[in-house]
Amino acid sequence: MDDFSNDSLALITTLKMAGVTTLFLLLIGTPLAWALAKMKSRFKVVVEAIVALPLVLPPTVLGFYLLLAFSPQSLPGKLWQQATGQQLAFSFSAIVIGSILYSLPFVVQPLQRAFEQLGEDILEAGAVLGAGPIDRFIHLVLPMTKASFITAASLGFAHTVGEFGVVLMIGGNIPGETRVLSIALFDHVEAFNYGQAHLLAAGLIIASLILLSLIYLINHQPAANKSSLRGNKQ
Amino acid sequence: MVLSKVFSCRKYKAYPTLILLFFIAFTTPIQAKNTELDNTSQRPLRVAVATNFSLTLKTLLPTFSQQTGIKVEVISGSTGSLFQQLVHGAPFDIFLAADEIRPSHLVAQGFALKESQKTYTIGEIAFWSADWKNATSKPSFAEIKQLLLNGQQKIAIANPKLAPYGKAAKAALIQQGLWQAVNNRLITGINIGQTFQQVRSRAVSLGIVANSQLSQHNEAGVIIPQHLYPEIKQQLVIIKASKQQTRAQQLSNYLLSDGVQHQLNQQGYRTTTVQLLKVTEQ
Repeated sequence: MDDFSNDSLALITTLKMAGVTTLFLLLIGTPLAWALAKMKSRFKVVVEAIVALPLVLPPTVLGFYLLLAFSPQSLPGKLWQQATGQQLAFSFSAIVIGSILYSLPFVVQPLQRAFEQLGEDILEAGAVLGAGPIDRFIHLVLPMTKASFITAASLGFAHTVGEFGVVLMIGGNIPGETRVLSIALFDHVEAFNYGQAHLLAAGLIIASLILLSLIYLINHQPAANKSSLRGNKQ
Repeated sequence: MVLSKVFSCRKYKAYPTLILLFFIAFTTPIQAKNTELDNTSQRPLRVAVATNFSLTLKTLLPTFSQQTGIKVEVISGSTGSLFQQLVHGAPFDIFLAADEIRPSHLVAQGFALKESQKTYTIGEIAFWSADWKNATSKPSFAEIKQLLLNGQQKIAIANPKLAPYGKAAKAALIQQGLWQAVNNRLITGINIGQTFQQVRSRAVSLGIVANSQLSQHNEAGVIIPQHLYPEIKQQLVIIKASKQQTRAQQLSNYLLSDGVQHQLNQQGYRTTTVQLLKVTEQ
């Protein structure tokens, strides 16, 4: 039926949103986590608290402020419109920005823990051997924290797929652009389409369960990896 | 220590800007240039509709699309949240609200076309319990009143502050002198759809729901007489920013046509044209 094509469109939109969000979460979250891990300033706790805010705030708070900020009447919304020629509120870009903010702690926190546990000695050894900072990051930091990167990326992805409140407020439920699975599910329940609601809900539960199991599976391995790395070093 | 200095050095200052540019390139649609011309012919007509009418609307749309060749996208939500989204620039073409307040606000604030504001249907409310499966178990209006005055059972209505059908339910309860008695036994749903679900799932044994919901599900309740509460005029408006106003007008004309109004009458709504006819006959 017609509605099933709508659901598969919602699935594609969801995967696209989560994929793009995860990419940018890694691009933004990695330097942020690094800075936090190395930070000695007393403002560190404030930055950490800001990053963790989405964990405790209801999504409606973030959604409310983003709705105001993205609207064509406000400054950020206006600037965006001038730069891109498109309206920001109720666009795909808007729900990705919302998701990046909302899932930020899920990426930054595991990365920060990993960077904090990193031995300075290896990096200094690299520096002495003439490796530049980017070189050291790619060839030393990345292999040693691979598992944490996978955890961070999967958690960011999974949490974005499960997002509802923010997208509901700033997305506008537009098919093919901002109608994601959680919203489509909400629509089905509201319209008493329990059959399709079951299909989506059960699908989301199974997919999330598989993804989370994989994350935990990976999480059980790094302990072994790390000790072997340490072992090699000595 | 060495690293922290390296990382905060000037070389990486361009990083945020780079990410922003990359982000814009990644998330905004590519066909940005030719939107002006192609948009109207390609993009379906976007209808923002109050949840309580969305099911009905979906049954009416196939005929409309056949007759006119216009493709329609339905975006359903509560009247209040759709209103908020419209005020903040949501790209909808026509708004079918569950009340007359929000369309009037949109017109007053310059977001909608004044002459497009029309009442497309009038809602009715009814007492309903999922246990009233046959006519014999259905109590009379007076019996329900008695039950509410003396009983201890909870009663479900939609949130009177947010939902037009909840507002009507509260008005009827006040009018009948029942509000004081039921005030602390109310279960308020976020919209009339949730209230219907609460009663249908028997989570609450009695509720005030929309008559249209009952006829959609082949159920029958006890209709609350119209003179006990202000009319639930469901109005539509065409959005000023829309580039598809002509097509939106076609949909409006279709919904107000005698044929559709007759169908709505059979689906538990009171019609607007029948009333108009009566007025003109007199």
